[in-house]
Amino acid sequence: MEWNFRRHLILHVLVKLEGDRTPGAVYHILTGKKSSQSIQDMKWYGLTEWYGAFPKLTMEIFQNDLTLFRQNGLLLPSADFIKIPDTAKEMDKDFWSVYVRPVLYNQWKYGAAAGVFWERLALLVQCLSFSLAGSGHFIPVTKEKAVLHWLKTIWPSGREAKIQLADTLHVELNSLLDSFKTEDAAILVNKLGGSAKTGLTYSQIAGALGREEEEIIYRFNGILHYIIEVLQQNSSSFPLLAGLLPAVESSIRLTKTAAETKRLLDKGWSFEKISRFRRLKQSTIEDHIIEIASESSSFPLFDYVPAAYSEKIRAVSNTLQTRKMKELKDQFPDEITYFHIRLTLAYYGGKTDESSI
Amino acid sequence: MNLQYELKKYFGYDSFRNSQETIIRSLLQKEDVLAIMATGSGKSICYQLPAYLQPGLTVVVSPLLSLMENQMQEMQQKQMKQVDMYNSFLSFSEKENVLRNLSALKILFISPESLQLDKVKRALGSVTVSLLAVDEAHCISQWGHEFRTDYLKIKEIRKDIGSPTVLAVTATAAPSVQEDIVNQLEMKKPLIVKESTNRPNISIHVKKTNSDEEKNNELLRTINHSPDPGMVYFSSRAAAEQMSAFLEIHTNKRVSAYHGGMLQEDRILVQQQFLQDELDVVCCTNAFGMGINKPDVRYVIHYHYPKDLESYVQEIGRAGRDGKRSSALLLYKEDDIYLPRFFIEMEFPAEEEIDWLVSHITKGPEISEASLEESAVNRGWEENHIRFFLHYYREWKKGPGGPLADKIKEVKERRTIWKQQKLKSMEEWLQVSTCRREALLHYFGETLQEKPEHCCDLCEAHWVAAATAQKREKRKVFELSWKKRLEDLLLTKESGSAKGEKG
Repeated sequence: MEWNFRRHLILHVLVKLEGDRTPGAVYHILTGKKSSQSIQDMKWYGLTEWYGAFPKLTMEIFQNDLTLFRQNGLLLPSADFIKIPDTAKEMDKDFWSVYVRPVLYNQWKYGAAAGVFWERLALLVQCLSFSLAGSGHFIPVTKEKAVLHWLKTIWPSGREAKIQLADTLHVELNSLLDSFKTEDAAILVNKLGGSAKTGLTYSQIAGALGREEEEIIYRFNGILHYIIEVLQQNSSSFPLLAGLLPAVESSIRLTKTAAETKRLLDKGWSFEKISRFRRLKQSTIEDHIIEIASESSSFPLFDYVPAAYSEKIRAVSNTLQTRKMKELKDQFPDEITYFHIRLTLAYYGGKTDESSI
Repeated sequence: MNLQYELKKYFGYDSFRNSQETIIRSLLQKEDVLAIMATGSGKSICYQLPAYLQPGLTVVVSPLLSLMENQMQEMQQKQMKQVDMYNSFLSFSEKENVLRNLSALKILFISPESLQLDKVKRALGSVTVSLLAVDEAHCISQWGHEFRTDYLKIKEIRKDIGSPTVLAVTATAAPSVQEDIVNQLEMKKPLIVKESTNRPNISIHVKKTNSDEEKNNELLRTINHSPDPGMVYFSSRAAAEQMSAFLEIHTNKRVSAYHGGMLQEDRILVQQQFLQDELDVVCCTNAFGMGINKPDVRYVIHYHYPKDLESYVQEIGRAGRDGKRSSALLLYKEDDIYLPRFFIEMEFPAEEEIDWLVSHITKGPEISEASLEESAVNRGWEENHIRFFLHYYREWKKGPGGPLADKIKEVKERRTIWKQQKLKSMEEWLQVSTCRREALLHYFGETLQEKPEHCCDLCEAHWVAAATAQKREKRKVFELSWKKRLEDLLLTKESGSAKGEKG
């Protein structure tokens, strides 16, 4: 089996979810599925760094990789939960002990903003460059109407103003990227293009750096996430670049379907009523509630979990230092359900705004 | 009306090419037109100019998103205003916006699926549509090389929106397809304009090889001895990528792949690089080229042969649009015959899949199309398979007939056989022993009037020559010195202090 970045990453997440979840959960984490379950998994197992790393990964490729893992004894046959032999865990550890990870990667928190920021930046640089060169014949780097419209709202009139804007942009990008590793800064700047030269594709950059395309995409996104974090913290040092950031979303981020459940809960509806009304399984509503609890500190936990239970759950999980659901459940009497455990831990752990993840 | 003057005013061209003026005059006199014009011969002007010269809206039906986007792009580059597009890839509010502003537009590009939506029909019904242009009109015919069932409904919609004049445009159409287009669109005594498919400035070459290795070597040798830029067509994405990497290593040319599976942003970059002469060779699938207007492509190579001669003619036609000498080479080997047959197979749902979906319909009470679609999607059906199925399901519901499964399988059978025949014609052409150009034109019902100087390999034409022996270093594209690149992008001589200081 030939190793590549994607396979290393898949193995890594498999190891993290071993014994507790199915391989399918790994797929959803890596593609960044916006479901209650995947988001819970991400928070629960501390996988923010990998969530959405391969948005375009197909199930077919994923399954092929798993098959290869099985054939090479890296993944053991098991009916339900992931089972990994120690040798594979060692290999995983070895790889990540030398691999230089991106400074930051948080697709969950910054992914949406990064997409908009990048499209605005790339379009602005391209248009300024062509405009200063006195040429209007080019294909805009984005087809996103909202971004094209945004450019119109900030586009200066008059050559002087354009030169001024390009100058400022140059100064800010230069000083921002000065603190980056040369390779990271070069990846970002080579993706930018204008009249003299067009931006490079991921595969062209990968070829030049002797890396793989999937890895470059991952690293490039990490660079953007880091830029956004820097800009949010130092907006006064980079007024122009900070101005490219889209408005920050509200701090509570829920999937649409969980938000709907929350709306009904807030109206005082019962669990069963919501389940009947929305024609969703009770377990799905439970997932929603867990998602809501993990995002909102004002969540009325004790409406769902008796205080005595939740105390016990916290105590045991602290002593055992495990995130594995099965191990935890075995410690409690039957009255304490999986739902109680998951809800308690979601409420006390896992708020994504905390930097612990 | 002085059309020459208007042409100059709107497009900046001094004179019309070929039959453009004839077509536009007819349209302005409210006559329907069927135009069979080679790609790159300026068919878009035939509806764009009338759009600006007449009151009301021109609706352009276009089957491919990429086609629409490219046309929009070109018009925007020419600073032409009052143009918009409507397709399923727009967000809800974007769509609403387009429909609300319809009366301010001169040209609306729209997909055939979107055209069928009630709210679209209503909106179009409330404005004056003066011209309905149907691009890639062969899609309307079962016997055209890309049949699209949505095209069959255009005639009904035409009535709903006040029966505007119709212009049907296609690059290639056999006589039976022409007839189908006229009938299906219910065109009234249309003017039929047919331009020759002959491209005298492109020499045509075919070479048989005995193995992949030999093919690769032939490809390498040809590319190394050709003027830039060029295109190489592949029938699979994987092959385009692999051979792009192969050529990148073994030649000193700048090579990139292009196919529909790439990220949108990378696709735009490759297009732009190619247009800006930052690439020498593009290894692509047929997703490339649609609407991309690069006049100086010097050669087109087929690493796999296309599924029919219509596609072949369209693809080699991307070379030499500037009228200068160019060449086309097709490489094949014995066992290349399997791939296109496999693709034909894949174009339709498998028999057992048809049975499976039909069983949903015959089982219980009336089932909605939406839920049929959902079942099919969940099972992993491809979009075009679903469209195919649903179309004949609707047809079947209309009239008396045998079992649904039989009907769909029969259509599938008929279409498959027909496609295999087209493929056979393609393959027979590879075996021609007289003149390739004559044989090609013969297929399209034309005769060769005058043999060009560089005709085909069988007439002993030479491959287009490279200007001088090109012995240059491969240019490095990636710049590790990012500061320099950033300066090049953003600073000019007039810029403030920054550039001078860093020198």
